[in-house]
Formats: sequence, structure tokens, C-alpha cells
Amino acid sequence: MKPDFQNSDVFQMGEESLFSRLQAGELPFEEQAIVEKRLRDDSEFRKAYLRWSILDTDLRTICREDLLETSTRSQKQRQLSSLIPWLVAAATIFISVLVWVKMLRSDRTAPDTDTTAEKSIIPEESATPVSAAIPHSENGSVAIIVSADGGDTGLSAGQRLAPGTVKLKQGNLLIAFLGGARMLLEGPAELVLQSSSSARLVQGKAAVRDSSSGKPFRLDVPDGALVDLGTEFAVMTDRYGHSFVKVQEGEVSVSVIGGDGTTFSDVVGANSTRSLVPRSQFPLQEEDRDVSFSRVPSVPLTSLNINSAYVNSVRNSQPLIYWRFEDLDEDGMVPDEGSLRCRGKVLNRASPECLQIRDGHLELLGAQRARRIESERSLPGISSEELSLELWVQTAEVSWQMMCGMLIPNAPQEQRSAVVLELSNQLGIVPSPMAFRAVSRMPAERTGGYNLFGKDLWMPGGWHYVVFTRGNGVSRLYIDGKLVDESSVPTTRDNADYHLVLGQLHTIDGVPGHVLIRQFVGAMDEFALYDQVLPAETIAERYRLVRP
Amino acid sequence: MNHEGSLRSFREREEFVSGDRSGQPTSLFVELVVRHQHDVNRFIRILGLKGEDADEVLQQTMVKVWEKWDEYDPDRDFLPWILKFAHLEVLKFRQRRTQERLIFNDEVLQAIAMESIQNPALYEAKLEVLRGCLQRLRRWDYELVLAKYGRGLSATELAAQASTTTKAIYRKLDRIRMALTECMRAGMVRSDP
Repeated sequence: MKPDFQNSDVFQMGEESLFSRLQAGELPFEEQAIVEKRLRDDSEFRKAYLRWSILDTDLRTICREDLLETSTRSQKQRQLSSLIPWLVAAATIFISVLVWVKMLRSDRTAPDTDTTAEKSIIPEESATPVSAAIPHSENGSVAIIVSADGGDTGLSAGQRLAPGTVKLKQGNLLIAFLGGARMLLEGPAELVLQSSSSARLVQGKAAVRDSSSGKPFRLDVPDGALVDLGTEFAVMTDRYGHSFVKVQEGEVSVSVIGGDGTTFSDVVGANSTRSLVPRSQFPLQEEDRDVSFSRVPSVPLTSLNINSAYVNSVRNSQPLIYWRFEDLDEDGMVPDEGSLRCRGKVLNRASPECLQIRDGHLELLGAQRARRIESERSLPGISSEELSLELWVQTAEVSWQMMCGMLIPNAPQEQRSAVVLELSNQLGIVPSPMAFRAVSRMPAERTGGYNLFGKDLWMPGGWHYVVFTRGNGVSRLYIDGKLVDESSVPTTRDNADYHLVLGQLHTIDGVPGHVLIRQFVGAMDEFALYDQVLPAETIAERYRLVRP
Repeated sequence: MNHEGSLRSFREREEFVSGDRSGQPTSLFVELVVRHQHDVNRFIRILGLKGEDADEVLQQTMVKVWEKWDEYDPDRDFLPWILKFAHLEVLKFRQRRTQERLIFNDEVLQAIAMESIQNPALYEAKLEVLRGCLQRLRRWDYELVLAKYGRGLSATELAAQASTTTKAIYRKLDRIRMALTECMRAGMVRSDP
């Protein structure tokens, strides 16, 4: 009789998931034993595994060859590029003479393929006039205006932008894409917003900074594309479809269509430039000339003025944990003024400026490595029937960011949480971009739970006061002293161990990419945890005491 | 069973019989090893080894095959013969790594190895065909495959980059694999909707 394996849950996942995890040794011992038993006893299953594994090996072989070939071709392009100035210099003289002769007889013509002629690619003032026609919508937004300076577009900070065309006659627009990238658009310019992580520069000047953990930002230019690999870059595109790219920090992948229709690609590092002349013989070249670009401004973080009345009010409520972030103690930890005396451990594997206690608050900058504040020990039963979480928050970015979580420490494979407070701008269930979200799960889980949402758009800059309470079968979310949402929740007792974490969702270090998921960028202050439900009047009063 | 496919011509058979035994590989040895090296690599990875471990075992296998070249019967298929050496080298490797968690116990490893050695048809898939099928994938599917198999990113890393779940990435890869498998059989790819 054939053994019955079908009822085991482990076989419900697809072959890719099952066999990948099997080979990586990521299956739990019990599941691995079940799979191995089937491999031993079921010939058809064995053959399926063999076919999967053979294809897996072949794909690795081919893809690594492809990557090596691309890298080799880029190297050859660079070698060829070093000869170009000499070759083109001779051609320049000859062509310039022809053009001069022709100019004597008629108006100036469209430019030739000579890419080293000293001509500006900044749009001329006599170019086609552009008008400010900006579509925007409450639904389907892909970006938000952070600031609008010096123009007459009718745009203002806080406006949401749907996919469409932005025509800027003059001035600057600082745009925050919901995928996390920021762009400084300098008029005159024309930009097509395509998605939360892509746009097309038709003409003009744009600088892009993307240090988010989401999908890499892509900026299309005429017959070319730039993909941000975690960096800042700037580009100018003229009316002839030629572009000039400068990488300020990090790396950018640059692609452009060549004269024969093939794609030329290169990865451009910091302080390097390229000119893109699509469909020409030399479509992608290094550039010697330097062009001045504005940098994408960061959102400045401000201090929070906390007075003694506020502090006394918190102490009178007898918090279990109260982290004030005034300074670090002699062990380099955040002191706890609450009854649990559970300090905040500073975990920073990034550079020192990515996590600092400054001006009496906690500052967190974007980083490629882990940095967070975590309770120095686990807290059993902390997710009790009645609890309140209270903190002041200021974000510096438009992106999906977790501020505070009650997490099961180092849960295998996926992080499970009981409470998460975050800004959710790419979650399908979020009613509007950059809405505040509080999710409560009992017991801790990776997904699901009871959600509460703020109603307003949460813009970078400026402090906000956030309080989450849960008790008596109800959870409530307060922002800036006002109740914004509430929901019925079950009253299950949860005695599991939790860690309090501020600044990033995942605490499983050593898993590449995890630490970037929902990483918070900004400032926090006056964090408190209670085993009681804070009254609405207390919350409103505390906000009035500070009034940032 | 007809083993003549192991040697392409009478001339090659003669070369084998009269091959140089002075320590230099014969041209036939080199030809057979080069022809089947990828198959041996596949086999070693089927048995759970990867990265540098697999490379080390592959190298040891080739050394052993050369040492035993005199024992090779040209009337037999070369692939099953060399795979047996690879199997032994994998077992030796596992014995040396007793402190690590191994993904297959000895019983399972034996079953997988035998299934593999006795079904050389599984190795008929040609890299050139797969390469052509990859070129027919939609661009984003190809980029995903390149990121996973070329750059070695895990499903978790890919999910983080794409702001999606690991499960969604695995499902996507399953669909791409099915498309590639179908393409390799029939020479055409239908785009995944």
C-alpha cells in the first residue's frame, strides 16, 4: 500500500518553496523528516525532486554566466570609451566646419551625434512653453508633494499625486514617492509619474534619493532607464532626448538603447557621470565635464520641548517602562524610569550617526544594517488584557515604517508580533497613503490581527503624539490627543515572552535584507508602556501640555 | 543495452585502448569529462551539497575518476559510471562534516542517488535549450530569475526588495519554472498572466 503523505501540511506549499527550503536546511526538523520519508518511499516524488534540482542547477549555471557576460561587456565598453575623445575630436573639427558652413546659409539645425561638442543640454528658455497642469487625486496616489517653492503651479505641500504628468514652468518641487524615494524636480521640467516607484523624465532636471528598502526606484529617460540601487543621483534631459547623469552617492544601473537597437548597460558608482545619447553609435559614455545639481534635501528633524508637567503626568500613571531618551547610562543603555527597570538596549550595526540620542530624543537614520532599541530582557505576559503604549514620533521619510512593536524575539523564519505601531503606505488595506496603523494580535502572529488607522496623511517633519490602548474588549488609537479609531478585540490572555523594539520590524539579525523591512527613519521620544488603559482625558491633557 | 553511444567512433575506441598512461589525460577522458561535468555537478547538488562544498566534491570526483580510468569499460555508459564515484565522494564528504546538519539521512541519500544514476534520461535537458527559453521570458520574470539564481538572493531578500511576501515570490518562481519546463519540452513559452 502506498504511504499516505498527502495529508501533511508541508506538502501544501509549492515545489519551489518546499524544495528550496529543503535544500537550504530551512525546514523544521519535523517537516524535514516527513519530506525525507516521502523521498525515500515515493519514487514519483523523488523524480519530481530530481527534476526540480536539475533545473535549479542549470538556472544557476546560466544566470551566473549571464551576469559575468554583462560585467565583461561593461568593462569592454569602458575600455572603448577611453578611445572616444581622440576619435571624436578629429570628427568634431570636420563636422563643426560643415555645421558652420550650413549655418551661414540657414537656421541652426538639430544636433548631430557628436556628443563632446560644448553645448548645454539644459532646456532653453525659448523651448516650448510649459504650463502647470497637475492632476491629483485622493485615490490611487503614487506620490506626495513635500514642498513646492518658487513656482506658480497651484501645488502645495501635502497634496497627493496620481499617475500622470507634472509640468513645472519654474521653481522646485520636492516629491516623495510612496515607494520611499524622494525627488527634487527643478523647473522648467516635465515629469510623468508612473507608479509609486517609477517615473519618466521627459525634459528637465531631477535629483533622486532612495534609501528605502522597497522596490528600487526607476527613472526612465528617452530610450533609457536609471535604476537606483540605494543612492542619490541627478539627471538632466534635454529636448533632443539626450541625458546627463551624475551619481552623488551609492550606485545606479544605467541602460540606454544603442544605434543597433541593443541595450547598453552599466553600473555607475559615486562621483561618476555618464551621458546618454540613445540610438547613436556611442550611446553611453563617461563624461569629464561637471554639471551642478542640487541635492535632494533631507527633512530636518526638530527637538521636542517636554516640560516637567508632562513628565510628572506620565510618572503619576505608573508606567511599567518609561524611556525618556535624555541620555544613555554608563552601560550605554537607555535608562528606564518605569517600575520594571527594563532598560533599552542599543543595537547598532550601522554607522554611529544612524542611531543617536540627541537633543533629548532618539534619532534613527536610514541604514543598510540593523539599528534599533530593544528591551534588555524579554517581558513575559507584557501583552496583557489591559495595556497602553505611548510615544512621540517624527518621521523623516515617506515609506512603510514600523515605530514600535511587541515582538517575539528571534522567531524562526518570520517575525511574529502582538502589537505593531507603524506608518503603512503600501499596505493594501490602508485607506490612504501614509496613514498611521496600529495592529493588535493575541496571540502573536505574523499577519492578521485587529487594525486601527489614523485618518490623516502623515507628512514627514513635525512631532505627533501617539497612544494605543487595549482593554475591556476594545482597542483605541489616539493621535495628537484625539481618538481617531477604535475596534472590538477579544480578551484572550497572552503569557508569551515579548521584546519591545523601536525602529525596525525584524530582529532576526544575519538574514540579509530583513533589517531594511519597515525600517523607521526619524525621531522618537518619551516612550511609555502601561498595564492599564490610559483614559481619554489624560491623553488629551498630555497633548495640550506639550503642543508641539 | 546498447552502450555504443558512450564512444562516438571506432577511432575513439582505439584511442582509449591505446591511450597514454603516462599520467596525462587522454583526449577521450577529457572529452567525456567535459561533456558530463555539468551532469556530475547537477548530481552532487541533487544530493544536497552547494557552493564551495559542491565544487570541492566535484574536484575530488574528477581526481578519483582519473585514478580509476583504467577500470572504465568503454562498452558501458560513462555517465552512470562517473556518478557512482560522485556518490562515494559525497558520502566521504558527509562523513567529514559530522557536526553539521545534513539535509538527507543516509537512507534517503541512497534512494535519491540510485534514482538519479538509474535514470540518465533526467539529465538530457540541454543548457542551450534552457538558455533560449530564458530569453523568451517576460522581462520582469527574467530579472527575478537572474536575481535568485545569478546573484544568489534568497526568496526573503527578493520579497523585501519587491515589497511582497516570501510566499508570493515562491509562487512566482513556481510559475516561471513550469513555463520553462514546458518551453523546454515544446519549444515555446506562454507568458504567465
